[in-house]
Amino acid sequence: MQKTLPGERIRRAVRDYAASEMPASRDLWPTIQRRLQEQAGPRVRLVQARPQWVSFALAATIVALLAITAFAFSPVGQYFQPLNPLSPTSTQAAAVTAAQTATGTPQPSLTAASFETAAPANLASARQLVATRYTAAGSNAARPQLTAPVIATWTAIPVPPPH
Amino acid sequence: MIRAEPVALEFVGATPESEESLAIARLKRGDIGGLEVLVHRYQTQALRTAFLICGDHALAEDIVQTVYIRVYEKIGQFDERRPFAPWFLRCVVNDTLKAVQRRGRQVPLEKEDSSERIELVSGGLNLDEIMEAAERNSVLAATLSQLTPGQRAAIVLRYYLDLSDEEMSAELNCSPGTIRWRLSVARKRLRELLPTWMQPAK
Repeated sequence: MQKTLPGERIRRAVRDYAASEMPASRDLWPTIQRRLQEQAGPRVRLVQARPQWVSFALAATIVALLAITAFAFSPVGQYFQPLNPLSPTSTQAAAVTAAQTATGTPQPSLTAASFETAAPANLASARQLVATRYTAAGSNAARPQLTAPVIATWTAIPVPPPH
Repeated sequence: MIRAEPVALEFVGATPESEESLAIARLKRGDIGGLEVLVHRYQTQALRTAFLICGDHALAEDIVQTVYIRVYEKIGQFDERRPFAPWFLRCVVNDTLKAVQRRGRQVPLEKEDSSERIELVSGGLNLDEIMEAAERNSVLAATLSQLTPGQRAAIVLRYYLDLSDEEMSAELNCSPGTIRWRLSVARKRLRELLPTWMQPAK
């Protein structure tokens, strides 16, 4: 059976060989430091390259958007939301006429907000429509009563003359 | 457990443990000066470990530099109650084995200017002794290059880093029996390959 080399002889040979190939005078620190700076460099320059006013503009935009969103969901904001973004149609115009007939009161102007889909036959239907929309929007604000003065403050649409 | 080589500890003076703890604490605070202390303490041992396994000066330096950079990035994950050297040198050994496997070839360990390097570490020797050392190292390099990376790693862990079978099995993630078998094969291979004048007298 073949003998193996004694451990101490291998140990000495390996250490002598390693010491001769890699002298202790070799210093890696300057290279490591440079590599770390090269890695960190692009990130630092990227942050520094953005002008200060861009940061301010971004921050202001974000704050403005947050403020608008908060206002829109507030009770006051809900009150100002349009109830009906649709443009006037002949059906809505007919509903306006029906409302005028039902109340017996001439309305100088009415918005399309009260008559979104199926034309309300009278003002009660219009009031119900407003109430439904306010409930769907989750607003607990006091609903505007669909009285003539209130309607008159809404954005007016042309009301066709009664036939 | 991997022990620190005394020659590496001479770089930093009298209280290596406390100085090492301070360096790690500085590094965890983001102070790059802490890394400098660790580099100067362990770079020689790490370079020699990597070189003995891969046999390539440039690759060994690149591996050790990369491991130090990873230490800088991952020092937050290091438990400072445990010694630094085993953790660090395990990374060096594993990265070197991976690098050698990536290359997919046996890296020749022969060098062009061995006599010059021998002179650097053998200042007090006469010419005959220098030539003998150069010849011995050249033969050993050629012999190591005939071993597999796993066998070279086993030789390095046992005879350069002085690990036990159990410590080696933890480092190389295999059983102590496998370690003993690898060492036995590597030693037999060395005996076959080394010339008789490098072997012990019968």
